[in-house]
Amino acid sequence: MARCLALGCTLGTAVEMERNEGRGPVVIKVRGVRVALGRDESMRLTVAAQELAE
Amino acid sequence: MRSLPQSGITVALSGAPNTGKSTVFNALTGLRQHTGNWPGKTVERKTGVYRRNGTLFSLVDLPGSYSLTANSAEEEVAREFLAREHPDVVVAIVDASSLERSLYLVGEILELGLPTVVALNMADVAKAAGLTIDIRRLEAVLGVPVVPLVARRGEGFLELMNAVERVAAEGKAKPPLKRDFVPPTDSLLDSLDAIIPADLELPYPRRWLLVKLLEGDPALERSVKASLPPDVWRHVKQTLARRGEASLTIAGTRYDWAADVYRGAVRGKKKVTSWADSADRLLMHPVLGVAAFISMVFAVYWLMFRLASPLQRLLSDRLVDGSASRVESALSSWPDWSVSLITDGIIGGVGLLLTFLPILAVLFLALAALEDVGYMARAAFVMDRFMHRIGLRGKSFLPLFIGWGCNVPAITGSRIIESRPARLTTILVAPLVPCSARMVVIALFTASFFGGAAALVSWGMVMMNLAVLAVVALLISRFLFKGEQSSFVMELPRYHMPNVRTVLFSTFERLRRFVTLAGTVILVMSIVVWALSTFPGDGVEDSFLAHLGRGLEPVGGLMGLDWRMMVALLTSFVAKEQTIATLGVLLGTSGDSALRAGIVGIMTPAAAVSFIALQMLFVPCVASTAALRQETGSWRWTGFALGYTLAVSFLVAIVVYQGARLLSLGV
Repeated sequence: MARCLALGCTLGTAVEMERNEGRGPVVIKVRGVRVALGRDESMRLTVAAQELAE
Repeated sequence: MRSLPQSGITVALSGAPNTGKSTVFNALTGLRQHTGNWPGKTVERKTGVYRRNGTLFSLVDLPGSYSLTANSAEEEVAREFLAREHPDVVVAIVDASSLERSLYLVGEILELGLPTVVALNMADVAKAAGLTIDIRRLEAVLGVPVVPLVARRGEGFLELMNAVERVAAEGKAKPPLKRDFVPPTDSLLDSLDAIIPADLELPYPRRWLLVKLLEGDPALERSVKASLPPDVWRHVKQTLARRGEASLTIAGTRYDWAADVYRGAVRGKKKVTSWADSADRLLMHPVLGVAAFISMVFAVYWLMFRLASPLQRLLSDRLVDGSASRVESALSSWPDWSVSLITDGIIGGVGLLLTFLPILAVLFLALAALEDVGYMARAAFVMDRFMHRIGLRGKSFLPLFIGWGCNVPAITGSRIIESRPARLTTILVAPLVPCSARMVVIALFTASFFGGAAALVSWGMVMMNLAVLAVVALLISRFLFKGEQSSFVMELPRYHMPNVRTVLFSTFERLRRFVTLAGTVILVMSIVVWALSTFPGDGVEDSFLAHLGRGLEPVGGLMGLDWRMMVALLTSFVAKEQTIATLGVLLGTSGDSALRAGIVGIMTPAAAVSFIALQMLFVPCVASTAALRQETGSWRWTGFALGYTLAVSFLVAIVVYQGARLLSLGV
């Protein structure tokens, strides 16, 4: 949790899912940096879907 | 403040992992310290000296950290140095191509109010990725000098050190960057401020300390508790109980600031290079990624045996055998025992061992290149699923993989792991990673017994070794640390072209350590083994060592090993590669071919496989044991590691040999 914060996953931050195999760890992109997250950790992040502006 | 003239200017290098901190440190100090591209390589702070125009700079390379909250043991080292030692200047090294994230740590350093210079490293990468950074603007907002740098090409160091000297000359600490937080965090801070007495004797800026308490930094909570009367601490504790999600607010406030600074100074949108994307599609694929990893390991073994092994034999035949016979004829007038000391004890032991340098060079080059490219974090990612099954997480894979070179950095490298149970488990299984010294012994045995199939047999033995590691890790996490959760959150650094200098430095440094060890500890040990095998006289068969070894023969017999092999095993406690030196002395051979013939003569192929297993799993060497004690902080855990490796190694070796006998294989 503290590590997630330090890596930039703070409230209201846009994250992009880069890799998700359905099981095992996932890769997200946050603040221009790619971060590997364990499955359990990723489950604890709450995100709201949003259309990409591009 | 406390700048001592003779120590010059103390400069702390601070930065997140993968920002090139160690490259900057190496370039400035020339001290060949290990650098690499995986999160948290620098596990201890390292110091070096840089001199220019009569000014002395003492540089301290702090462990990489993303923030100043102590999430792991090594982040605590970095934090405590900055907060307590008050370096004259802090050089905050940031990755220009991921500036927003990097600014978080810069903000925290500014909150400490230390004199700071920001080094904008990888300025070329940022430019190539399509980013334009307005340096003046950045300086104006941050209130500190900002110097662009391309550390890998040695560009910008002069400007950086000019800025450091200027800031040091000003000599005044800046007022700490003060942040305003939204309710209820601000009122919580006020309550803490009211409760904690103003004369609290802790070496941190007051507001910084209060904020860190709200963030829930365990190390700081402990120090505050220790310096407060119990009733006041109870009060503090009650306030902290109301903090709720204050840490979210605080980190959010800092990142909002970082995002503002970023938007103000950077134009352009980052492009991702397409080859890196395709590489990741393969290397991080759940199946193909694991296959790629295993093939890479196999390729390294193949190179070791196909390329380096013949070179080792050549060296051994030409140099070791040649010099031994030359010494023998040159010293023919000397007493027999002294010639024997030189040819059997020194040349036969240490000289032979040194011929294994090509094999080690291949391994060390491969390790250094993989680290430098940025592959390690990918390997940790694909291995996380597997590591999860054995009760560990992907992050543990990083120190364990480094253990392939040497177990000592694997044990100390475990500091990057946040949770204590996961860290302890990693430390305890680290001695089971087949290190390069063991690979040398395995190379000798497999090449002697299995010829063309040597690489395959070695690879198989390594797989067996890793299976044992997995079982032990599983048992430890199941039974010793039941129900403990650990997490896996890790940055994936950008790939970059391997830097020839960095890779060669790292390889050279590891080889140098091997040669130093061979020239000191192993030299002395070889002479001791020679003496014990020569006296009281009447040949090896009647020596002190033979008596000791024969005492162990009942156990050795179960594994098909005679007393010489048992003695070789015992001496490997000094260093694993000692096995070869000891066998060279005991068999009275001074060259590779003679030694190979010698060991083939005293054991069956089944016993050789059993010995390889024994040697791979046997108790950690002295250096690893010392590291175990240091990192676990307990003799009991150290004893546990020694005890279980002893038991497991004998058990597996006996099963291997007896199994082979039952099946009449290789007996």
